[in-house]
Amino acid sequence: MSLLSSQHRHVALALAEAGSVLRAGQYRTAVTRAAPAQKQSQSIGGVKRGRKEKWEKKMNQERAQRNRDIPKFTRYPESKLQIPKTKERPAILPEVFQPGSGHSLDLPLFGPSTLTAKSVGQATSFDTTQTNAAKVFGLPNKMHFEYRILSTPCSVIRDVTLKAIHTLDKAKGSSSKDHRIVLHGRAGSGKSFLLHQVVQYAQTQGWVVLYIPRAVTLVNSTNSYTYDIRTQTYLQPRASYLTLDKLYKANSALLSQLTLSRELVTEKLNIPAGTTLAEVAQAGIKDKSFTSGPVVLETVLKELETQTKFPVLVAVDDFQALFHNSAYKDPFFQAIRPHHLSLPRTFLEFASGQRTLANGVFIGALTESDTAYAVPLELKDALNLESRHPVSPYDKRDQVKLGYTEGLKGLKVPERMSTNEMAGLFSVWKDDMALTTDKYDELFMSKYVESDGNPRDFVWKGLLSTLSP
Amino acid sequence: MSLLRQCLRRAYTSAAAGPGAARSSPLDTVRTTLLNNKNASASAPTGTSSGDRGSPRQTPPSSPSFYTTRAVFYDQVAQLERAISTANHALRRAQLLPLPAFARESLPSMQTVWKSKEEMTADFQTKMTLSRYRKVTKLLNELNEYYRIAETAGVADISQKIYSIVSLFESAKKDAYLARGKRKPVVLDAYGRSYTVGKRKTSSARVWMIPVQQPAPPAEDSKAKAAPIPMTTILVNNIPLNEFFPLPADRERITRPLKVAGLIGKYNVFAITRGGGTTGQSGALAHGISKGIVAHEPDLEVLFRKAKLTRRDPRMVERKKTGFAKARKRYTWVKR
Repeated sequence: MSLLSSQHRHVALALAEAGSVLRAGQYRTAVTRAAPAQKQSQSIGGVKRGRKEKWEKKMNQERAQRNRDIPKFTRYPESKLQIPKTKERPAILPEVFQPGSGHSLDLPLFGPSTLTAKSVGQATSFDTTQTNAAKVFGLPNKMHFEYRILSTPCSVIRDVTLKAIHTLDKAKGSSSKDHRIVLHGRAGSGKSFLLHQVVQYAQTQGWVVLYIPRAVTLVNSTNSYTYDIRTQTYLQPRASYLTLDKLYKANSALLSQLTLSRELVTEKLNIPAGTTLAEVAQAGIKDKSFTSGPVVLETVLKELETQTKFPVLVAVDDFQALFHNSAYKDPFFQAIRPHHLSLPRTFLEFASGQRTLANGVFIGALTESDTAYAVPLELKDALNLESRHPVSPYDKRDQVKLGYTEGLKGLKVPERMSTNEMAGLFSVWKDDMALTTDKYDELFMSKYVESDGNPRDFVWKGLLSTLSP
Repeated sequence: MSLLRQCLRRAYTSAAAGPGAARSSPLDTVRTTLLNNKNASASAPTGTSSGDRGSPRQTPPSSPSFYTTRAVFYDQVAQLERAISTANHALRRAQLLPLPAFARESLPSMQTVWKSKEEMTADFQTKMTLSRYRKVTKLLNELNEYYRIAETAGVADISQKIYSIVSLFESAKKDAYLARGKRKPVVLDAYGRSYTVGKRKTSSARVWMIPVQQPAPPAEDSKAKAAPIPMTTILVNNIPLNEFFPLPADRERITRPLKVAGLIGKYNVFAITRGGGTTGQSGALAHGISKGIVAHEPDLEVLFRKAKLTRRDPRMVERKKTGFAKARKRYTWVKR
């Protein structure tokens, strides 16, 4: 029995009675109360045991998920949404980031004064005149994107830049037969940038420059083509017209000092001998139907081959694309070979020495990043390029294409940028405020290691892809 | 005279003389007796005369436990108890006993591993049942406690003598047993390279790390260029890091241990990865690099443990279960 005293027992009993009364009262009031907020599912005709609870649980889960999709901040008051301001980091954008601020990198100009051994690792900007080769001829895709986000087009002077420029200076005055160079190296090592630097240097030194930044457009069937019985090749009228136009715009001053040695007579044109090449080009450009393009371009190029007054630089990026069968189709639906297309044939002949510039240089740059137009075996053989996989002597090599690789000399762009040069590249992006952190040395070291000294990876997958604080 | 009486007499005399007595202590005699008993064959009790049946005994038996079934066992136990008693007195004389609770708690652990029952059979010359074994180990544990106190206090004469007795009963596999479960220390080879293994999910990475050789500093020649900054090169399966791991996230995961340690540019890394996919292999490589850094710089071990870099990520792919579409995904609920 209970150990409570009689008095306590009495109280306990009384409480028990009161409790039961209370409970009874609650039950009675529950029935009369309004229906609860949560909807209870009803079963019609009977449902398996446990199904009703499962269904209700599922409905609740769905309701919670629907509410979760609506962002929480829609329910916050405006005062809570204001960005906290600190003295070091005010809540407004710095002036430099405001549009129209006119921020640009303050870099020395690319030229003979900045192309010294001391300036290796120094970033230099290019002039922005309308006749600049980059503006006229355009740039390779990846370079174009990079210059779009940089406030000033610039590039870093490297050891290999000085080497290439030295080669150019040595080749001045001699035939292009002895100076046919191909820039090769790992993907992203800076071949296109180097070629662009060489083109810019040649322009500053008074060379006639013909720069093809994207030779792949000549073989991937993006330009119109038509068969020409006279030359027995497929002409590319529009491409030739545009090339002629660009050649004229970039070198009008020099072309107006050269004259035509033989008259040019076509269906539409009758140009006497002695006219300046500038006027010849203009005549070709005037014909907007593109038909005169190929003929006039060919004439101008022939004239540039023979003259020795000005050195001529023919620079072709995506050079390996000229060795692939094009995407054009002949009437039998066979792929047209590149040497059967007018413009690619021209460049292949310059590259192989079948056509030579009396005073000039031919430079090509390979593109390792294009998987559709990879570097072919013939070029790998000619330039002794390293291959990831063993190359079999039984793999077929096209003899005609091999013929076009004769006498090509390779200039290897180093796999890794030196730390000095990389520091220059780093400072470009740092000064252009592209970095997310102020711990510069840690960022530099770690991104150099991660990219293994590869400039493209360092910038695109390193500096611009990191969110480290 | 019996050995026991001899020992007791010596104990009294040594006690009278004081702790600095220059004579063999009772603990030394205990040790020699234990060894003798162990090596003695359990036969030929001394003092019996052969051939004389009814003649009285000439010499008393060597030990008081002669007439027991397990003479050697009881002898050894008695010796151990004597050793405990002697050690106790010695420590009391040195004022190390009784030890207050706080001092006893602060004693460093000196865990020992006693011989197994089978091994002790040779020492005691009897089959060691569990109860006998427990009796012996209880005595040995008490002796070990006294050793612990003496060793910590630095009284070398007492602690060495106790250890000489305790070591007779320690297992040969003591070091191996105490080191079980602990990480094997990484040793640098003749060229200063560390070899470590990292794992993540089902990938494994074998990592060799060697310090970058610093070029000789240039002389005081103004023409010489400044020495280039030493840089880490990481080769994975003989391929540069940027070619093997195209994703920036994987690359950052791999360089994180070097960044945390602040040692980018100090070591070159060569690794062979196997198994799994890109994330698993990058995690395994990071784990291997962390262990390699700890091998080269032991001071960074605590930091790396705090940063969970040396921890092998235990997350693995969960198995599919019956009644579920995948590990956790349930089949579509159908109302009817």
